[in-house]
Amino acid sequence: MDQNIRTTAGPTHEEMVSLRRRTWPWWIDLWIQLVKTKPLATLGLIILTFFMITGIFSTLIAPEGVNEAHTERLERIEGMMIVSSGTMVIPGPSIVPFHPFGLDNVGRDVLSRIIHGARVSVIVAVGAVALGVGLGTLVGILSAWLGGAADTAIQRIVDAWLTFPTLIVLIVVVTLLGHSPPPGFDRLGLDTDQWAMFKIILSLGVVNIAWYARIIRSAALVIKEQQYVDAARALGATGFRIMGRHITPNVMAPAITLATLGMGGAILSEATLSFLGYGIPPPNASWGGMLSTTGQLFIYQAPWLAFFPGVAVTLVVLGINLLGDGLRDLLDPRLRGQT
Amino acid sequence: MGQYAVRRLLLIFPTLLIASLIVAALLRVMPGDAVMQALRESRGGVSLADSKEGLEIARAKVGLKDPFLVQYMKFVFGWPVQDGAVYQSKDDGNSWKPAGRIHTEPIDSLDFITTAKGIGIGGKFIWGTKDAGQVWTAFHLDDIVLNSVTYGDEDNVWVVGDEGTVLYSPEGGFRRHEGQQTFSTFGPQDSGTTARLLAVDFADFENGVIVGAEGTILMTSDGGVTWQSVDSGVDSDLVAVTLMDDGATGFAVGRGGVLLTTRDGGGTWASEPLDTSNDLLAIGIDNSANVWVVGAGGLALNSVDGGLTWQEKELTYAGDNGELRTVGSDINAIAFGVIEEETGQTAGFASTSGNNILRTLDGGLTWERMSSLISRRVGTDFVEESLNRPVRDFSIKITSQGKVRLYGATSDRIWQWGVLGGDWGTTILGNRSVWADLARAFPPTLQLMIMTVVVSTAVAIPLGVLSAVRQDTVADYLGRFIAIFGLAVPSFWLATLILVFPAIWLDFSPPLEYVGFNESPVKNLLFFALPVAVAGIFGSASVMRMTRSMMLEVLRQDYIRTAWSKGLQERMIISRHALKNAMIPVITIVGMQIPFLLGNQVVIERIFNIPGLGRILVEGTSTRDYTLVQGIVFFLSFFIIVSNLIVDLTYGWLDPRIRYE
Repeated sequence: MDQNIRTTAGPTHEEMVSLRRRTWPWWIDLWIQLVKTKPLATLGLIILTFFMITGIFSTLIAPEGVNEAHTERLERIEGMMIVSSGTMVIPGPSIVPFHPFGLDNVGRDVLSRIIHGARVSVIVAVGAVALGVGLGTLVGILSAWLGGAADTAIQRIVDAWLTFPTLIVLIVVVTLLGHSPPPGFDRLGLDTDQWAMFKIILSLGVVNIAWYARIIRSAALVIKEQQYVDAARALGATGFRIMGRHITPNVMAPAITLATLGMGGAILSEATLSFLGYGIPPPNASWGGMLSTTGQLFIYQAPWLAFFPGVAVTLVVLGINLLGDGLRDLLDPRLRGQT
Repeated sequence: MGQYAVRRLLLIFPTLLIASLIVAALLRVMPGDAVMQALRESRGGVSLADSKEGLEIARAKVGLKDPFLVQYMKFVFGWPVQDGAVYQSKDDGNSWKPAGRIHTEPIDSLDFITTAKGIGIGGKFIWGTKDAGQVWTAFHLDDIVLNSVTYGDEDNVWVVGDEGTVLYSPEGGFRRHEGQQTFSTFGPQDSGTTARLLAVDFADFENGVIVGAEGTILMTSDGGVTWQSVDSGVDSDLVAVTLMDDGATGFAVGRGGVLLTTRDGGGTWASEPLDTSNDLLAIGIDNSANVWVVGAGGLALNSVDGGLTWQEKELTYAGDNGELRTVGSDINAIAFGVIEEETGQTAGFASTSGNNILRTLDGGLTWERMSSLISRRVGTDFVEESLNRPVRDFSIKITSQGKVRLYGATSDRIWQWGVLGGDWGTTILGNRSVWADLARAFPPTLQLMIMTVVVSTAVAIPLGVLSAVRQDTVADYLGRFIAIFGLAVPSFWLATLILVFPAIWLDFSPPLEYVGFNESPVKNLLFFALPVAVAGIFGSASVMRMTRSMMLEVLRQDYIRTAWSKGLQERMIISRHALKNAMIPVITIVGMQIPFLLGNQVVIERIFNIPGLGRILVEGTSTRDYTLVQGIVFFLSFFIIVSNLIVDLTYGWLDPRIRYE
């Protein structure tokens, strides 16, 4: 007899098989569902994975060092002084020797610098999102749980915080944090370059807390009214236990979506800040900075200097947004269109 | 509705209060840099002193109530050629890090008069810093390649260059601000020669010497009003010159082993007989007796009697494995300075073409190699070929005379409660009214804002409707792709590409000169076309996505099905029944966009050269003009709150069911 013919009220064989598969933990099942049902989000997942691996292993992957220069390949032209330093011909993209994205104005391989720049983007994105979503979740859950006057006060601060234009606040905060690290920063084993990265992570994280807190709060408010929370309270659970054991796991779904979309935003913001000169200082490689320092001066002679770093930013942010959209559709359709 | 509007308006004040507290908190918790810089340039007088008497000076000059120690540091400055970065060590040369950056390369000469104030020369540019190299600004751009800079005293600066150029600034080299405009304070002095001038040094603000190509020597004893040519007796290029503090003793070195000495402030020069014909490149003076001259091929000459007799020395240092190594490559620079005020301990630094920095703490008897540079093997060759100037992989200038205390103070000027009452103060730089600056910069920003919102909404809503009505068709996919692309692409990149590629391929460049709407509406609109297009792509993306998803939701409603079954035209159903109901969340999104659009406009204004709020914000932060920055942040918050209010009130017009309780 064919196994798929429904003979009784119970599930068919195939349904049993699929039910058994469903016994994955939800956070693994999520990715399986994503790959099965969302081709665009899967593409985004692939881009994100590729970007993460590139960033983490950049020193192994990059064909050349971040400041390794082929000065001999730069050709100087006497008497052709453009603006400040355009006195040379910069070799463009070539396969042999292997410089597919060309060289920059001091003879460094652009591809290698983009790969090294990916590390900056990975660190900033992960750091800022971890900080922002972490604190945002904390504030959001607390606000929802406490309710009443405390909730109102927190939400008014969030309101005020949200009236500031994000990028402008970032510029002000980064400027106030200063170029040189505070005393004692070197005791962490970090130097001035890492301070530049640290202050961007700090300001990006802190500036976005308000957004995260607001969305997590609305999710937590729904969960707070669930019967299992009442049940836990009836059993004598403390507020902290309920927040930690019952509410936090249940706001993980919007938190994951926010974290994914937030990473794209963080990468864009870091690139924009570096472009404006508030970010990672040269000679370190950063995608925005590559467009700013070298890209702008030599852009008309060597358009590839500005082109490829921008492509990298766009592709990665596009991938992350696609993934974020897919995750949101699966996890929390209510958020659709809000980000 | 009137009552509702009043209540919303009243809500502005608590929000503004919290917003101002946030700004106040930001400014309060960061005293060091911010206060120091603000005080340094505050109109009440300079209160920063980099001397031991700083505290007293701070008290006396501005009557500060509560001065406090801001920073305590030691500086050593150097500069490599790559990317125009200036490297700085704050720990007596043990580690070197980029201090700031200059947007040109290479830096050929650098001089600091205090720990904070310095000038660098790169190509045709003169760059200056007032904050220890954190921020560099272009002070001057000349037609001639410039070679060397020196301070006579804190106010008088000289720069020399090719074709006999001598530039002089009586204001420390810094730019003069007059209203919105800034002027270079550098003006030419008559050198009476057309030779390439390669190095300059002043003992004080009157007595100075310039050396140049083919044995040129010029001297002055009246601060450069008249320069007189001096016979050097040699015809090789002289590349470095030093006058000692006594104003009489001086040394000049040049190519082919030339070493000249003067004992009368530069009037007559005697050539030292040397065994070598290596190029000599730099002079370092430890004290009036101990003098070093270094040059190509690892050559080092030392005099311990103030330049009367010279001995050839080898610079040796311990290599990576402890073996003794001798410098064989060119030594490009050498400099000495006091690093311990109490004991008078000096340190000397030398840099080589192998990109090593050597340090001595005993006047040159023993040397040790400090960290090699971050920028390895960049720039050496082409600098020498094309510029035909002394190769300077890395040169060093010791700026501080020992430990330096910088005093600042909490000042009432930084934060004023009067801000809440409408007194937004005056800018720290230039002492202009903050309101006046805002009033000047606001119209372009507002125009860009309004045009962007109008254009992006006008494009996004039809696209979103089309995308929803023709769901899963090619048009839908295309629309969704454009939207998701618009959210991912960085505006600064898009704007750059729009400027560059038409210029390269079509030889077309858009107007980049802002014209006010009152002056010429046509030119004004033409000017804004591209910025609005770029900003609009960013702005329309989320509006389009929202319109699409809201339309999809509404189109599934029963009353739409009823409308279809009644036989209404599609056009009617969509415009009358569906669109109007889908609009409320869309309007919310348009309102929520405004902060993002304003942030984005900082970038757009910078690239398209629009004199708006974003541009003065960037200028304000880079000059640390905190009152101006504070004013801009307040103003924009206020603007956003008002625009949110307008959006709120639009709901009532769109949906009369909203009662505003």
